[in-house]
Amino acid sequence: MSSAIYILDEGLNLLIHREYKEELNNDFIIEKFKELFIESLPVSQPILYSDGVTYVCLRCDDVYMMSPVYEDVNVMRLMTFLNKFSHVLRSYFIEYHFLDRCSKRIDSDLIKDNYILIYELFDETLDWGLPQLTEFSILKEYVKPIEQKVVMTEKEKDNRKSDAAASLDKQIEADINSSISRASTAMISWRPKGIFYNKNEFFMDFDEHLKFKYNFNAKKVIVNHISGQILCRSFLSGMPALKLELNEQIEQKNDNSELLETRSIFTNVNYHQCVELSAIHNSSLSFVPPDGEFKLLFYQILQTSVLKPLILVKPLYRIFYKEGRFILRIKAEILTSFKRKYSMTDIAIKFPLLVPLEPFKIDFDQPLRYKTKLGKVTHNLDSHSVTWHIAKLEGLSKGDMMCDFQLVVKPKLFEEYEEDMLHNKQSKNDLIYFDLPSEASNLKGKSNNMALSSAMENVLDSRAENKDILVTVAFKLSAMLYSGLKVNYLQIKEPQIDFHSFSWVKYKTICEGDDYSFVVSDDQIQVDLTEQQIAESGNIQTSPNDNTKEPNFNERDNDNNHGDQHNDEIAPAVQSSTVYSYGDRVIDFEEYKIEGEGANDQASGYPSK
Amino acid sequence: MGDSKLYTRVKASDILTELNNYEKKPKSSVYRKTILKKIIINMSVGDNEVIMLISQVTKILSDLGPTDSEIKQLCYFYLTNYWRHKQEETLHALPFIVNDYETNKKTSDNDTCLAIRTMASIHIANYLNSLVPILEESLQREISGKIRKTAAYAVAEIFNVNEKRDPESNRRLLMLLNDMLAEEDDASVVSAALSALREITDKSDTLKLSIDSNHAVKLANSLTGCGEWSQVSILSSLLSFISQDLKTAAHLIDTVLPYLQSENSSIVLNALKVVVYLSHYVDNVLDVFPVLPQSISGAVANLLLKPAEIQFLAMRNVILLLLDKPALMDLDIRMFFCQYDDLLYIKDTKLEIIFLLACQENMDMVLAELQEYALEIDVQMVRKSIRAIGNLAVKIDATSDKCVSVLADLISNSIPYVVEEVAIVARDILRKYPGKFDHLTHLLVDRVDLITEPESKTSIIWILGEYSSSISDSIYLLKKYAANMLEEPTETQLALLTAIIKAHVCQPYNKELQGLVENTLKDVTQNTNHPDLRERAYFYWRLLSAKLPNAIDIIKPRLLKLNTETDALSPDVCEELNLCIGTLASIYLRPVSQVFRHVKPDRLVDSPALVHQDLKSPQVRAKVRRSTIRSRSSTTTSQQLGNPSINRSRSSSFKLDEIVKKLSLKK
Repeated sequence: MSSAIYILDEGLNLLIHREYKEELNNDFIIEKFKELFIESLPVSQPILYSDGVTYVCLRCDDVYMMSPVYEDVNVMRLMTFLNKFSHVLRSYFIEYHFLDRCSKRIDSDLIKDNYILIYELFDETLDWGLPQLTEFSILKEYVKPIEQKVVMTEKEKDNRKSDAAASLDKQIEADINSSISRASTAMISWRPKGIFYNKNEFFMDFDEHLKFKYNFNAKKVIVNHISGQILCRSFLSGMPALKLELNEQIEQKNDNSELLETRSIFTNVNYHQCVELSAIHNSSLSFVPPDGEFKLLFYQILQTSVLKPLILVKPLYRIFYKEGRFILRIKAEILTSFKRKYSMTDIAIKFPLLVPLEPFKIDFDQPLRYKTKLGKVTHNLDSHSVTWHIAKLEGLSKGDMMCDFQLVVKPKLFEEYEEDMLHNKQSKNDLIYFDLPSEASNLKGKSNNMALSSAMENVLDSRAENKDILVTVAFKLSAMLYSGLKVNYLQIKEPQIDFHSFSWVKYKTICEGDDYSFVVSDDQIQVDLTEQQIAESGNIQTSPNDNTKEPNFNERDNDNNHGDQHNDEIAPAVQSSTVYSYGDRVIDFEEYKIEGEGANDQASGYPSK
Repeated sequence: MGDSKLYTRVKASDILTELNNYEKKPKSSVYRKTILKKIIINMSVGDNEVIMLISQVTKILSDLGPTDSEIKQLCYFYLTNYWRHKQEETLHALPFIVNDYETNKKTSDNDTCLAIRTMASIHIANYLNSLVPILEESLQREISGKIRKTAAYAVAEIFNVNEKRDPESNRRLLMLLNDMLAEEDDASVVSAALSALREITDKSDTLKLSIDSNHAVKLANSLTGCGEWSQVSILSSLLSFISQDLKTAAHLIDTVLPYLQSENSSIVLNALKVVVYLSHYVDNVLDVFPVLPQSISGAVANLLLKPAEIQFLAMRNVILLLLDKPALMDLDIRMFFCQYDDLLYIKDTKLEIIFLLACQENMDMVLAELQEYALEIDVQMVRKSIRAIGNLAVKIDATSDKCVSVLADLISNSIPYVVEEVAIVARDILRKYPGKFDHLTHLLVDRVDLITEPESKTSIIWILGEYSSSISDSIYLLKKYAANMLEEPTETQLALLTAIIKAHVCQPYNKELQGLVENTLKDVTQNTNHPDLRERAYFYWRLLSAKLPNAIDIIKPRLLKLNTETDALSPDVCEELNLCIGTLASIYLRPVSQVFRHVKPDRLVDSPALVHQDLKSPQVRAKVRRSTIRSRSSTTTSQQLGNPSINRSRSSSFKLDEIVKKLSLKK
């Protein structure tokens, strides 16, 4: 039971508070909390203790919610409440409430603007510090933001003009739905009685996010996790009972019967409160959905050894010397391994730009040259990387890409920079290597713009210490899930009203950011230069027709059998379909399997083989 | 309209003049509402000057309250905040509130609740006088659930104040609450009555909440029919039930078990608490519920997907369970491997859990993971993981070789803070395994120049003193340290003094050392101001000059064996903490009485069904289970099928071990 709740702004100043127990000395509490909080920076613990008072604190976007505790309370209840309360605030302000300025975060201004609403929410959600109700769909019936009504009526007016009939239906729906008496104490607290829709629809979106990491050093898949969720939107009348059956086992029930066959692919599953926990059988679950949007369940699958990676990327970095120029070439091959009838969209493969050899830097004065049959390649300065964009890629297909950067040695850069300064010019190199970093460090001095300056530091040190080189892939794959999960059937039944209902199911697999990545090993970075060339690189730049170096280069190549296939320059790398040779190593897809999982491929229904 | 432009501190006197100005004007209600908002804002930001405006606020309440519910709410809020200081004025508002209740009690639940809530928060005799009959009325069966709920809480709120004033009415209210427990059908009202009674009994010395078995079963069954927060209250009140026989307890566990999967983390932890509590009353609980470890681990895995704050709380409770009843969980250690974007306190807690979960079988995997952390950029994380490796070396004898080789590996990079941290853990390792890891000492001594931090300096000096005879240049190093002894912190000085004397008693005929001892003793006794240090120096001096034959036993006694069981809590504390899952005590891992005074510690209450069983060691558990299964398999074949999950998890962990082995081979 909490004795008071404080909402504090980013500087830990009091915005709003509500006391439930004996009178507290607010100033003292806030001061003490501030002290403790700052002491434990950079990252403060959620539970701080001093002099018999425990401060429980939860961060919600740009504000903090804090509650001092004087006795041994159920702190998990308190924390869960604070968390849920922050969700309620978010629903009110961001998803549901339209203010003039579209803020995506809860900040102190939002709290100030709506403090009366928040007091009302405190009243509704807590009775003497005990949580009562945090379900937004019900709360919004009690506590209504004023602005909301205005906007609604305007919308309705618009509707009326455009489409009278439709808006009349809407009107009836709205009228019926708004006059419903809603009780928080009912059996099913998440759904009010008497909801009515003209057209009864139920949408289910299956989303899966992958976390995948392949390490070329260890030559194996290190991480391959799926976290998925089922997002539903329900527009159904009355009190419908839904029954959903999936093609996979949901629960591991250790009852006494028929156990060996039941094996769930889920590592863990989390249900919305509407799911009847006691009535989950094998692969089916039943629930009475709340009205509107909700998350039916989310799950994690950690045991994915039977699944093949959806897309594979093999990058190769190579530095070589040709016709008086030093060149960094990034080559990549990709291969998709899902069924041909599906297709991947919005693929973006990101290669970090690194020059593995000390004196060399990328010469940005020369344009980037690339060659590929699929999509396009762009250079992004902010993250110092090259991105290969492909709009659409089919299953069981492959592709390749090659792009060249010219290199320049460091002393040369400085020379040119000084010369340009003299002529009052600015080349692209000057901008990237000198002017931007100095600008960034200026900024850093004033305000802590860490993101920008760190990006700039990366530009200078082409390879940050101890950091893995990650090639990352972002993509969307619709109409299938990586786990192979599917809906067997969805039954919608309303005991009293006999209505016709439509249900829609959508599947999507998504990867964003660093989630899908390949760690590049040293094998994939080749330097086809001799010591001498490196040493003399400065001179070579200025006298490109120096022929004496050329045989040297070839000789070394023959020694190592490395660069032969790369020597015929722009010829596209045509290779056999399943086996790829790589320098003197041969890679095929068997290596992408996790070792020790040899004979485990019999699982049906997966988009493999 | 945003209210943020009103959000400034205003002097109370300014508000007063403003109010007086507008009083006469037409449409004054709008202005007065704005002014009221200003008052509330000043109250929100903790500016208590607005107390003096109380008579104005009560006036606004009686003028505008009946028509504008928002104003009414704000005024009530003001009153509940400030009634203590202006009891006289607060009384003026009473007729209005009672009237508000009377007019609304049939029509609007919300307004009625608001009135009851406000009256119950104001503990003035007159208020109580009017409130008690209202409460008696509201607790009747025919009133709506929401009001009864609020009334139940209100009883708890006024109970202590009312006890002095009118014990008779208190008895009546208590009876009403009790009746509610027995007869009520609406589960959320029951839960409100339960929490009210619980609060009353917690504060009182004479009353005690107890639930009989019929009622407990009824409560557990009613869980399906109420909202999430009511479920939390009901679950936590199940702890007041003392099971008299195995069957009821088992039945309750069975009913509560599905709630481990709830989306609300509070329900999960409270359900866990109930399960752990009731497991004390079920003999061989793991045979009765073979799913138990699996379900609890699943719940833990789910909690780890929540926001950081909740993760933290959940993991503290996992630690608590691991210390006392690891057999109840079947955790996959990989679940607790740190993600790069975890906050520091999460990583910290995860390391603690990894340390607890580590055993001989998973050591390879754990070490590989810890070694990876030790190579990170974050210095704090590096230090903590090195310390964890060191502690593991001390904890598990069989794998100490591996741990030490990892440490040796880490030192070889000669990163200062790594060497410093290894120096600290090396002390314990060397103590635990005398003579086994001398190479570690040599590696450290080679890099002794990198060590600057006091704690690790103290540690390396201790090593130099203790093993001076086996370290070739120990004398040279001690001498070097002694040269700037006076600049060191006291802790290091003390260690250095002792180390030099120890070295001396081991090699009494070493001329160089004799000189060093003389110089140091002289130096310390003359130049230091710290009494401890000076006293110790004199002590050694006399001891040495007395030329006792057994001086070496006093100065360098044989080391006591390092006790690795220090992290274990005493059984009493464990028992108490087990009943505190989800509460603050579980965060501090200390008994309630140490953190909070005036709290009754919970105890397991004796009953015929109470059993003491050993859930300590997971290994024992596996064996016991297998054997029981074997013995039962003759009677029922289906029973044997009850455990595929165990077999499977074993096989998968075996596979993992293989993978890790292969990995290390490849390297």
